[in-house]
Amino acid sequence: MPTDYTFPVKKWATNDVISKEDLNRNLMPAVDRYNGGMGPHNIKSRAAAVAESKSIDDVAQYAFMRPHFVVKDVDPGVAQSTPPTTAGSGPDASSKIEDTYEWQLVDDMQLNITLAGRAFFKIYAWCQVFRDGWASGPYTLSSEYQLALRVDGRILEDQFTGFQEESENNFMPLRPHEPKSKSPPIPPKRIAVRKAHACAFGAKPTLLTYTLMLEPGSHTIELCARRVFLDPRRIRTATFTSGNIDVYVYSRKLIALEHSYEAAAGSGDANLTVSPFESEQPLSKADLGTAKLEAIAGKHNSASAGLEEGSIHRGGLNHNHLPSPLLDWGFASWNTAADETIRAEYQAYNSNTTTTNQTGGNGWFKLNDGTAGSGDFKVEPNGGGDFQTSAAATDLSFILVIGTVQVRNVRPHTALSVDPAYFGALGLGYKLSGGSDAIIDNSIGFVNYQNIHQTAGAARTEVNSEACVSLLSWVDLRTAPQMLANDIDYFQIYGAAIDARGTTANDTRLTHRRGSLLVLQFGYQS
Amino acid sequence: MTTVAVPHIASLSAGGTIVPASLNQDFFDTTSPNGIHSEPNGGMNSDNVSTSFEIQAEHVLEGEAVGGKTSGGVRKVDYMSDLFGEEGTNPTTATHVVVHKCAVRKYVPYNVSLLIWDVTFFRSIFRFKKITEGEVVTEHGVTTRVSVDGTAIPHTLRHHPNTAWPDTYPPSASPPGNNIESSFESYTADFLHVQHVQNNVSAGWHECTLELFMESTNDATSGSTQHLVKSMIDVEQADNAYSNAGVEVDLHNRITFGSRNASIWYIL
Repeated sequence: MPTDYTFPVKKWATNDVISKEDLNRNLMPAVDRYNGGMGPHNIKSRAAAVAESKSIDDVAQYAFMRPHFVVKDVDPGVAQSTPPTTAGSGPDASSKIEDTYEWQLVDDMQLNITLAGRAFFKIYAWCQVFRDGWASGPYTLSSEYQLALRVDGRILEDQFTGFQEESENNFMPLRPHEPKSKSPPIPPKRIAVRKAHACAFGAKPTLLTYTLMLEPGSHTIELCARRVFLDPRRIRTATFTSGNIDVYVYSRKLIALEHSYEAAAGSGDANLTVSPFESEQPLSKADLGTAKLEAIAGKHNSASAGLEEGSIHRGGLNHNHLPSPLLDWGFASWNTAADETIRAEYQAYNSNTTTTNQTGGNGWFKLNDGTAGSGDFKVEPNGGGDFQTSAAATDLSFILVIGTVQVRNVRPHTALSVDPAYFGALGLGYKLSGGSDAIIDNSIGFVNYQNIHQTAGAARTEVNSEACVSLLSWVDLRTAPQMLANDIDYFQIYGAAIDARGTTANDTRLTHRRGSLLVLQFGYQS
Repeated sequence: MTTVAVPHIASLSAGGTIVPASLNQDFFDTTSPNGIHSEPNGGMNSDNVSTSFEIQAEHVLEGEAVGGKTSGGVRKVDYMSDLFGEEGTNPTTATHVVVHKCAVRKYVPYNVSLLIWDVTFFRSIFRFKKITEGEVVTEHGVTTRVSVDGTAIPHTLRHHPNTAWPDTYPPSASPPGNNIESSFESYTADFLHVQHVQNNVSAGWHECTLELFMESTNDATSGSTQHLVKSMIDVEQADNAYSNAGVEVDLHNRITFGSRNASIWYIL
């Protein structure tokens, strides 16, 4: 890193001869400083810094964050009295997880990134999984799949969705009680139970996230999946043949947020042209003053052309000089005191219909903590007002939205059943100022009735399946044509329920409790 | 806007004499604003910036706008109730333990607008419903939550499901226990994600941990545990030596964590 502080090398005494060599040694470091030698020590801290009168609007696009993403939006076709379709088709088709133990790419979920300098990445991947066979069964209750992020061919092992080893097994936690009363004593013994080392839900969205540093060069970030069967003896037997419990990934998305750590880009000009004295050059007021000393001072004193982009050296600004990368943000969480249940009926994948009737309505219901309105699972800007999303001159941005909901159960409302084709639907959306609620289709997650207690008969009891659902979406407003018609009042988590086989209205309960919603609006230079 | 002055050369008249000692103040002087070396040594501010100036990616010192870290574990780890569980049913006040290798700790070098915490983990669970002759007595709780800087975050509390029943449940069924397996945990194994955000956070060490609460199953008032246990063993392993020998055993809850991690992501 260049030396930010500079001092004259030569201090002349009264009778010293002023040589041009000494003048050059005193002049040129000062010139060099304006031509790419400015660093953090030259600039005052935040109290009167570059950032003082600068906002995120004065930051070049991608100086702080560059998003890389891919998204596939697949309608599973599920609705009231309509089970999910087997698999989509066309460009946004669902992606089958083949019946092998091999990690395989989830179709299209690949990002190829080339870095000129080191960069820190925050990665999110989200996908909606459905097993097959909803139309006619079997009512298999374990889908047995694992998901993982893969970077440059290597699985990130501490975040894939299961146990690492196929051999890892669970056991029943028991120990002999009062063994001395028996003869002979029986030693403690582990009793194996069925394997549970892969995701089980027949329908559920999953969110993966990771942070890592990547070096300069080309990189590949992927979302992968594999089938891991619970009982090896049953592999590829009739129970597992294709068409029965094949597992598909429907809507899916992968986003890598690149935060450059050592950008290797060229800055703009730094045009302080002051040449050193030539050996035979006469020394005059014009040569020393106008052409050199006063030129340097003039550069410094120019309000319109002073410090230029090329004046600051690489890594020359630290947090004291920088504005926040965020144009706005919002976060809210709900520690709901008791379970909340909704039976509002899901309409269709592309429906923005909302309802305020929690138990008998048709459409999306705004999840809340028991108090509709003030307790809605929604987020407004931290600073109040609206999220600025409509003015191209000042609002170019990229908005990341992540929600979590504790879904305690999804089940039939009127009578418990062995049929798992009851679904809860959760989605992210927003409301434009002066407009209506809009649900982001590709954010919609479905979670099924994971009826783990299958006994038939009147004595069947409700057992919560305790799903934990996360939702991910983003709103890309990086260019003027992408701007919205108005600002966004708030982001919201919506919910609805589906009886995919029955015809009784509002016959599915979605029971939820806690939740959180995060909105990050990264700003960009217009 | 800070300014730089070069008083000696500026005041020099045509044909005038450059005075060496006076010329020094045009290069460096403790009297502001004299000297081309003086004021830029820490005196630049935003008014010295050209009107077209934009902060570029290469200007930003690494980690000075955004940073973070992920830390996690790979091998599965089992936790049993009654090894540390407390009597009581309130997961918000009971003792919790930190889940092994599901935590992250990082020094945040400056005050930040946001600290974003993500915790993800895979879990499978053996958690029984305790029955006395057809009546549900209680469900011994197993919950997880996230703590940030030692403070529990209530909205991250998550319950984990029952997965086991005795084969005689429900007792009224005929035949009893028809189609019931001993453990349904393979049906509920799942990957969970929770998040939390702090704002206006001071520089310093910050940490996030996943914590676990398992209520004790050693209920001295019930006396029905042995019945439950023997029933379940009968189902799991019909010729099991325990049940054949009539040995009484204690049954506990167990939660198992697979791949898991915690992440911090901070934004200026």
